[in-house]
Parts: sequence; C-alpha cells; structure tokens
Amino acid sequence: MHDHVSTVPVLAGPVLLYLMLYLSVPAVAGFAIMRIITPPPHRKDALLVTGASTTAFLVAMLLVPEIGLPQQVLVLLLATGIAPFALWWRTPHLLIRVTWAAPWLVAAATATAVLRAPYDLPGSFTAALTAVSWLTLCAPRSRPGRVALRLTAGTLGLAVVAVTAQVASAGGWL
Amino acid sequence: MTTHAGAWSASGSLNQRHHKLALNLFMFVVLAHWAEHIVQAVQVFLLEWPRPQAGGVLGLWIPWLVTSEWMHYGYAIIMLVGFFALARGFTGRSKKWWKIALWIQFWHHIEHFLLLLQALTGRNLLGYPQPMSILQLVLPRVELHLFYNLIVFVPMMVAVYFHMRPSREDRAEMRCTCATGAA
Repeated sequence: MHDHVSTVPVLAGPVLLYLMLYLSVPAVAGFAIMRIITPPPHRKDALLVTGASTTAFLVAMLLVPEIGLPQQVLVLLLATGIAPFALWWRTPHLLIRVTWAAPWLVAAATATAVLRAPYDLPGSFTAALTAVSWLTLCAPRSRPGRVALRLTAGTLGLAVVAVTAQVASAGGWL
Repeated sequence: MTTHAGAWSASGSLNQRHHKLALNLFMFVVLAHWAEHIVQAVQVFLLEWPRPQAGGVLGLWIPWLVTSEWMHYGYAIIMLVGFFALARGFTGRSKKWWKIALWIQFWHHIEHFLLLLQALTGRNLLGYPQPMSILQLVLPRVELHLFYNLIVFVPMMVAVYFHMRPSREDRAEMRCTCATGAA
C-alpha cells in the first residue's frame, strides 16, 4: 500500500523546508549562545528549543541529498535528539533521573560534530543539533563544569549558525 | 468530576452517555482500515501482486484512496483526534492501555506527516527516489506500516476489553454505559 506513487494536488517545493530551517535555527543557536550567561531553561523554553532542534534535524534530512553518517546512526542520533523534547513535554518528573546522562550525551554529540565537520557538514550539523537538545538538561554545579558548559554552548551555537549561513549564501543545500 | 488523584475528569456527553456510541463508531472505522491493510498484505504476500497494484478493497475501486498522501495523513489525524476525544471516558487499566495506543498512533501520525511533507515539497528524505519515513530507513515500507497499525490496534483492543469488563474500582469511576455484565 505505501509503495504507491505519492500524489498531492499542489506541489510547494523546497521553499517551505528552507523557511522551516531558517525559523528554527535561530531558536536553537540563540539558546545555545545565551546559555553562556543564562541559567538552565524553564520548561516552555526547553520545549521551544528542543522542538526547533528536532525540526531543523528533520528538515536537514529532507534537504540534504546525502549525509555521510550511516542510516542507523542517523536514526539513533535523531531519536537521541527527540528524547529531550519528549521528556520535557510528557514526563518532566523523569528529568531529574536523566540529567546525569546529559553532559555525556552533549559531549559525545559535540565530539561527533567536531570530528565530522571537515568532510561531512550535514552530519556535523545534525550532531550539533542533538547536542543542543541535551544542553537543555545540563545544569553543572562545579565551576569547571560551568566553564565546560559555556564553551560547548557557545561553540555549538556558532557552529549551527555558520552552517545555516553557508547554506543560505550558497542558495541551498546542494 | 475527579474521583481520585490521577483519574481524568470525564466531562461532556461524548465521554458519558454517548461514549459507547462514539467508541463503536470509532472502532468501526479503525477495523475497516485494519481490514484494508490485511487485504493488502494478502494481495502482496500471498497473491504476489505487484505492490503498486495492491489496493486493498476500497483502493481497487477508488485508487486515489491509496495514492493520496493527504488521504493517509487525514486518516492518521482522524484516528488521533478520536483517541484524544474518547480518552476521558476511560478509567484505570483501560485508560493506561488507551494512552499507550494513543502515543504510538501519535508517532505513526508524525511518520505520515513526514511523508506528506516530502510529497508536498518534492524533496525526499536523504535524497531517496520516493518519500521515506524515519523507521523506513531501517525497515521495509509495507511491512513497517502494517506493523504500525498492529501495535496501535493491539493495545487499543486491550483498552476496549478492560473498558467493557472493568474492575470494581474502575467501574466506580466510569461515567459511560460501556461496561458489560454485573457490577
């Protein structure tokens, strides 16, 4: 049944997708950069950021012809990125149980983003988005932890903006 | 009308005196859709029809019912709205199973939204030649959506069973006439 030819009466083209990307990235990057000086987010703010991050991730998967990451890894990355949104939305009482994992997931996703940046910009972009999602759950108590958080947040925010700016200036994700 | 902490308040006639009728109508639509999937599976796997030709029952008569992405998404939305609208009438064990089915259907609806978005924009996931959903990256399409409908259908039927044969505590909280048998 679902191998049919998909039909819709009107074709909107990729403009809608680029619009979604350009609207969601500022929310993600803005949160990441502001996290340098602001406290952990409230629930509504976290929902906005994680929702925007997930949206940007999906849009990137639709716009990019090919992402260098294996598909299974990509699905895992997406599921990991969606998890904070689901937690903030439906089970905020469970947040305290998973906050211990947040710094590690942010570190892993950020490392993936950094290591893949030279030759797989879309894959790096999606990893950075996942890292920002989990950043909403990070609230370090120690001074070194706060320093690491600020450095990571700033790096992620700038990276996401830089990739999106490059896409915009190139006229699309070619 | 909350009887104890955690119970959903059952307000409105839809979840009280009309709950049984509404649930019956909802189940009829769900079962009809499920039957279509079963027939298509028979056409593909037993009769070995080419997949584009396997239109179930109604799809053979009205092909756009199968080919239209708006139709697929519209059905997913209708089912989701039905889940949310009728949820307040469920209590106790049946409520728990209904919520499980609801949230699985919510994800199923997201997958269909993604397919619709690809059809509307002409851009497919990761440059594939046809629209793809997320789990379709790891599982084949026909089997995947058959699976989705199955994992929504089963907990829904469990919920309806517990709703029709509630425990004493659940029955005390019910405001509809769905329960069968003596209290």
